Amino acid sequence: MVKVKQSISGVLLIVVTVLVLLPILLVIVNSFRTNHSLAVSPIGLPTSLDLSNFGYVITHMNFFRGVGISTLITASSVALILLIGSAASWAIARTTRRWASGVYRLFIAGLTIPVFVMATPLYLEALQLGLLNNLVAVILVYTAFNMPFAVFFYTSFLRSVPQELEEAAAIDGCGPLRTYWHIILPMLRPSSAAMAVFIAISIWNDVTVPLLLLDSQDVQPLTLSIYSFVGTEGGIQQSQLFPAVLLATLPLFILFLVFQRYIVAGISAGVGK
Amino acid sequence: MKNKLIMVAAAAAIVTLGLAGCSASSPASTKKTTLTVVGWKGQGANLADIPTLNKAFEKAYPNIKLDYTYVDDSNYTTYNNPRLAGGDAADVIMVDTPEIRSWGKQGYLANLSGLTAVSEQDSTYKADAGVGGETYAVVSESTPVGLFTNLDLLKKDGINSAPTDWPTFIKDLETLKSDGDGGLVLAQKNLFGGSAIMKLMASNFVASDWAENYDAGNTTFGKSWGQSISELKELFDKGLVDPKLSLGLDENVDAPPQFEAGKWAFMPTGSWELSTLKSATKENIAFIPFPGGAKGSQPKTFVFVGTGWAINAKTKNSAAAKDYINFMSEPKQAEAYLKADSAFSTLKDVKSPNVPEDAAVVKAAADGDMLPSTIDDLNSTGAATAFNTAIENLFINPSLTTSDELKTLNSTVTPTPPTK
Amino acid sequence: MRLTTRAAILFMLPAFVLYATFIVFPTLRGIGLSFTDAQGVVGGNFVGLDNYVRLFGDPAVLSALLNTLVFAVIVTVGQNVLALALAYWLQSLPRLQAIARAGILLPSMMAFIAVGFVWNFIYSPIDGPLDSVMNAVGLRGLEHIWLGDPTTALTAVAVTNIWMYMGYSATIYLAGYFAIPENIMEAAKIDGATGWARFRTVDWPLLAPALTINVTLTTIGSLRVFDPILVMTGGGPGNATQSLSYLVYTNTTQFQFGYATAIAVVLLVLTVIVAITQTTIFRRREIEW
Repeated sequence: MVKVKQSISGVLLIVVTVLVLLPILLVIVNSFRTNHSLAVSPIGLPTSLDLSNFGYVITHMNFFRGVGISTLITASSVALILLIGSAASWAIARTTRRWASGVYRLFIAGLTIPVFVMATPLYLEALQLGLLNNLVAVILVYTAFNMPFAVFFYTSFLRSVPQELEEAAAIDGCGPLRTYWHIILPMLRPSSAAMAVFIAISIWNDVTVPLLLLDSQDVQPLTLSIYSFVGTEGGIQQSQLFPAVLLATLPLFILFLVFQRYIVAGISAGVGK
Repeated sequence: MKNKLIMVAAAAAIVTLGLAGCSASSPASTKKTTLTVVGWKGQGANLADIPTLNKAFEKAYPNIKLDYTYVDDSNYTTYNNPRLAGGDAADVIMVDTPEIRSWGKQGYLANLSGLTAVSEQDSTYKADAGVGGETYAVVSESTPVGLFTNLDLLKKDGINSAPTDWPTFIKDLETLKSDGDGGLVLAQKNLFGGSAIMKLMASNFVASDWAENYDAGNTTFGKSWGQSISELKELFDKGLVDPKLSLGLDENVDAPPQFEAGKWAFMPTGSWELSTLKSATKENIAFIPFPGGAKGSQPKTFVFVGTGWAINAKTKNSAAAKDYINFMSEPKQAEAYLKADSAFSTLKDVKSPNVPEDAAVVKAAADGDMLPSTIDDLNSTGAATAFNTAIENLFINPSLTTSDELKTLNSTVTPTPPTK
Repeated sequence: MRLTTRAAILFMLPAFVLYATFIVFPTLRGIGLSFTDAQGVVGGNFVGLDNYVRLFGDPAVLSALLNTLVFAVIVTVGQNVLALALAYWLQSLPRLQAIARAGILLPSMMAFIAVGFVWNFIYSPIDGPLDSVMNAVGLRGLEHIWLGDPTTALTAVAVTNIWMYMGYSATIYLAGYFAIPENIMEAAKIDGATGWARFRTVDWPLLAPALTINVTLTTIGSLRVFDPILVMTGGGPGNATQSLSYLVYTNTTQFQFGYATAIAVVLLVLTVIVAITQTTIFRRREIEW
């Protein structure tokens, strides 16, 4: 009985997942179709497997260089955020002084800053510091941008987990640095795994920072190339937009699928053991 | 072991930091001048022949290396404002009239008086190319807005030629409606369709120097605008345009694709769509001036100033920048650029392109029936938005009276005398 | 573990330095602009509180404020209810978890320009898939000009937003489920608590940290809503979908820089107040170990 119920529930879950994915299936199907056939009947199957849209996009968008740069920026920023953010959050969560909660609030306030307020001053600062067209600067800026999110996320989990392990480590003579490395980082793995996904998504899809700080076409990440490629106003060609979007999302999705094993492992090996 | 992943990632980060540090400081070894240019045309669906023209420029000026950056329209101000403020914007900047005025006033653009290309510019465009009597740009195109017409669809319903006056237009729309075909498609969701059709209607009634007089406080949105508004209301009242439906139609998803598919007979938009439409549709199409006048009258249309070229006031490559603008304004290049947008010439010795589909608009231009855009010539940078919003209001409340609508226009579009 | 003050500061230092340099400092400089009549980016004359006075009399700002709040409520409630249900469902089916989660997370990985474009198309009142489907299932009377009607446009945009980020929130709830110690779930099973009863007494209180995070993040994210408005409605019809962020953007493109920044500062203050109130309330229900 329980088994039957489980399989019904499972089938339903698959149905719901497919429903959620319908709009994306539409993108996939339409990326093989021509402008004209799209206009005549928006919903329909491609008459032939037309790969010319993809070919056009790949050659005109500098696709592979874009993927490389986006991966580099995203991976480095995520690593830095996880490392620096968890260290800061641990210190914040375990310091009961007033100033620590002030620091916490200052970080949290950062979650709320609309990017328009700081866009120009940030650019001027980068200009004065000579940080334009510099991938390091972009990585550092992303690290700073996501720090409020990391502090918020980590502190929340740290405050809800037992402190016995840390205490035990301290009694065993572990200094803060070793406790952090051997106890805290592993313990934060479920949060880190979930967070890595979210931060990666937001950095991968961001256009504002590269627009401000990366002028040279040689260092343009993928999403910015897409925006440049399809434009956002008037005269968007659907037959080019759809493949461009698929190609831009694909690397991220593959990264996610590859790391999903680790993410799930991280999550299940986490706090509960 | 436990932290292997993070360590690998951190190692990747360190490697990246090292690599990027190196590449950022790579020296430019040649003694060529590098000229930077930024524009919102030149890539994807908005090519405007720029890549070819740029190649030709590099060939003609072997000592200049051209670095052209394309930034899409919606990000254009976000991209340029900080760079202008920081003094390191591109040497040559593509601009439209509001940008010329705003950046010119703030001193970000170089004064171009005396430039060869400026002296070639038709004097009509002097006001559009600068502010406070100074010239900050060379205006490179004048873009007509008109009515795209599907001649095949008209023929199918027994109409043999595109309409030229208002009564015929109404009759044609009624015929199309009774045959179950789409008539006039207005994609109002992005505020474009409604204001385009209203400005087209106005070109049949409103005096050509109206904008100047409005800003000077000598005139208002009065009788001539009332006639235009009544035409739109007539379309609503006779059920020829559904204002509610129009509010939900999208400029990217609905209007051009539907027109391309041959489902609607008329669509108002600018000449820049002509080449794209032509390549995307199998229908026989024409681009015509707006049939808004009394029976037997000639249809009229309007143009607004499209793109122009300006020079960054803080450029270090002033000579090369001037070479670029002059080069782009030479007949051969200028004509190629105009052709891509089916736009009209703004320069004395440059001929407008000859495209068979827009013959009627060319004729209107020759007959003096192509007028400057009323709204886009107003001085206030917020005028167009205020106008668009007021027109949109008419779609939301189609029962608004003409005099109410005029009142709204007069109170929201602020007259702004030109700055001295 | 108690850290010495010196150790605590050292651990916070890298994060703080980066944060101060690239966020706090530019933001303060930006806020300074809101007290000027700057039309561009730098300069402008000091005008005191003029921009703020003008802002509170501007009907566009007031309707944007209201829309922003309504949008935030719809998205926060809708997204969290659906995400929580999905997470509950996913944790009960360990074998399908990986694939279903990857599937529902996929929409959030796409750039909004694409998502918005596809949904514009789905909502299209002529030949749009949504209306076609409704026709096909016999809901002919219910087809609608979703994005063109002032009464439905904001909700239609919110639905797209929820669709996009639902999987994101569900993943956080799922992480919350994994953080519940197994012995507690075992104990619940032995006590015979299943379904709704278990959810109410066990899952709900123990998911408190995940709830705090999700509710706060969705609230903050939806208060700042910009891309969906830009791509889907342009703030219309009328002011029906105008959001504060979008208003900041339109004023920026019209070269009203000082004024735009003043609106942004209002948004900032609003978000800070909401976020701090929320975290204070939610933190209280979290269990201390």
